[in-house]
Amino acid sequence: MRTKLTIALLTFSFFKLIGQTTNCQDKFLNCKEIVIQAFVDNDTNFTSKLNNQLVQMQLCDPSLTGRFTIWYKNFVANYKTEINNELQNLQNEKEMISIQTNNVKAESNKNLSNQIIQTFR
Amino acid sequence: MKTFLLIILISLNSFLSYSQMADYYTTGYHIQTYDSFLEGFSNYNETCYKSNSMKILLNSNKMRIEANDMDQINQNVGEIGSNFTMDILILEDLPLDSGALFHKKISGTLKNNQLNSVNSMMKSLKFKGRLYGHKFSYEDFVTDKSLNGDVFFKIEYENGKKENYQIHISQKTEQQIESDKMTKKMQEDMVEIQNQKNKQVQEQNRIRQEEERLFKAQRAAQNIQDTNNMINQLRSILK
Repeated sequence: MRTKLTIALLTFSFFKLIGQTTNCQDKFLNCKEIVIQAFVDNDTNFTSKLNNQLVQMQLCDPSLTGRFTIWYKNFVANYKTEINNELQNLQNEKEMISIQTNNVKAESNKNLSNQIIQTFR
Repeated sequence: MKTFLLIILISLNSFLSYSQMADYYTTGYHIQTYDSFLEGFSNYNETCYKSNSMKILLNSNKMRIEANDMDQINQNVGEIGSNFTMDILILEDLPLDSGALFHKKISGTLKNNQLNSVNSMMKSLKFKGRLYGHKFSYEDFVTDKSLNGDVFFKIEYENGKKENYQIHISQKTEQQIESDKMTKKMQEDMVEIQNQKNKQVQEQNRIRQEEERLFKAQRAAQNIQDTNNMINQLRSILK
């Protein structure tokens, strides 16, 4: 009986340890999810929810804070780069259309001028 | 042996249960800044310490200040990176000074945990002094009516050294303070990104306007071309 109890406790403790690690990892993932969702939805009311999760994560495993900070820095840097690239592409596209418009206008003005000259000759 | 193993496992189990409970447990009061001297205390402004990792614990008429990674100008208590603990006993309430919310006579001991031979004389120093409250009520703080505030006190060590202290304390834990900083940064990033997104929308509107201009220009060009063709045809008929 005692052996069985020992084995049961050992198993329980083992799974509890594993469970704790998973628990911390879950908190890390929750924080990531909240941030991504907030940025996608542009939801500025995410702070209280995230604060709570960050504190829980830090208490669970302080080393995860560093990992989270690194992840966030990369995430926000990539997000900003992506947004800036999109903006640059849009500006380029607008510039291209503007050039095309000016070319069309210049060409048609030239045609019109030629016709007027021919007509009055 | 089995009994011994059983006891160890039960202890481990209890520890794990405690660890989980500790997720929701915060310890007392944390000092955020420690950076200036009270005006008018010019007799004592010889020393200035800065630390971002200090902790203050209030319990009845006792206050304990623990400082780690101390960064100090004018070395006095210990070396940079040393730890010190200051146990303050509040002896009695004194008549209020002007502007003070509380005014108490204190005594206590300053202990340095990492001392070398140069400042070993500071290893354990008893002091007497006064505690002043200027921005919050001590009673409100210990009864959680107030979440943060400043503690001001001046002390005189038994070796004659005098010091002033101004400490900002908060009931927020270090984790909360750190997460607040992080979320604040995130909000700033979010605003920046939103500005860029707004610029994208403006740019898309400009593209739409430019496309309309292009369409009109192409239509005008086509009209001119059609007119040209018609004139050319008329000209050939008239010839």
